[in-house]
Amino acid sequence: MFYVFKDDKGVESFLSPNLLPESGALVEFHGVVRNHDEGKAVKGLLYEAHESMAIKEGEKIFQEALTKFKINAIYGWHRYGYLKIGESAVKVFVEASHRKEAFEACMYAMDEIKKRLPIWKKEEYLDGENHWIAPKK
Amino acid sequence: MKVSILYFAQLREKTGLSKEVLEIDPCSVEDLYIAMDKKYDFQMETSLIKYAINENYVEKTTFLKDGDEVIFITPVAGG
Repeated sequence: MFYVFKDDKGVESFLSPNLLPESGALVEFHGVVRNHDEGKAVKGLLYEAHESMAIKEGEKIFQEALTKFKINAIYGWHRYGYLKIGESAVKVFVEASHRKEAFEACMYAMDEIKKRLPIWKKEEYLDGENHWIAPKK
Repeated sequence: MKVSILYFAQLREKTGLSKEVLEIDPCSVEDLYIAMDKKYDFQMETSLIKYAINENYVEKTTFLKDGDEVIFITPVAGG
């Protein structure tokens, strides 16, 4: 299941992974707000989302991962709203029998999330400037 | 026919709108973007825009139907 949360509402209710008995590997990715980007000191990030489309697109990506890789489960969420340094914007959890498939599926899901989810991000800098950012090549 | 457009991020700021409902003649989703670009001067490279109709990505040549909800998707930056 893929969830989208406004601010931190709902994040706390997202339970810790409840591992399936057949899973021998759990890969957990956190995308975290860092304090710098391209040499500029970052104060925080404002994420804007089309929530219902982001949920649908995230679900599609997880279904693709389940088809492409030998994994047992994949779930996670993305937040939007204002996030401070150190806060997680996205988390993805992948369970598999073995670690290789779990790592590969997690990488695939994160790459697609960054390319396809209708979520935009405005960086706010310590010097008072801000701008919408495009993905890095 | 009637279509609605949802605006996000730069385009929401540029138009000052989150949603706009328009009466239009049949056209492709890219044609609609070009018309709105003329109206609002988005100052975005048109080739960077992706298009969604009713919450699904579509090709830029896709023709609009009555009642469609359109999103012009400027470069996304989730993660």
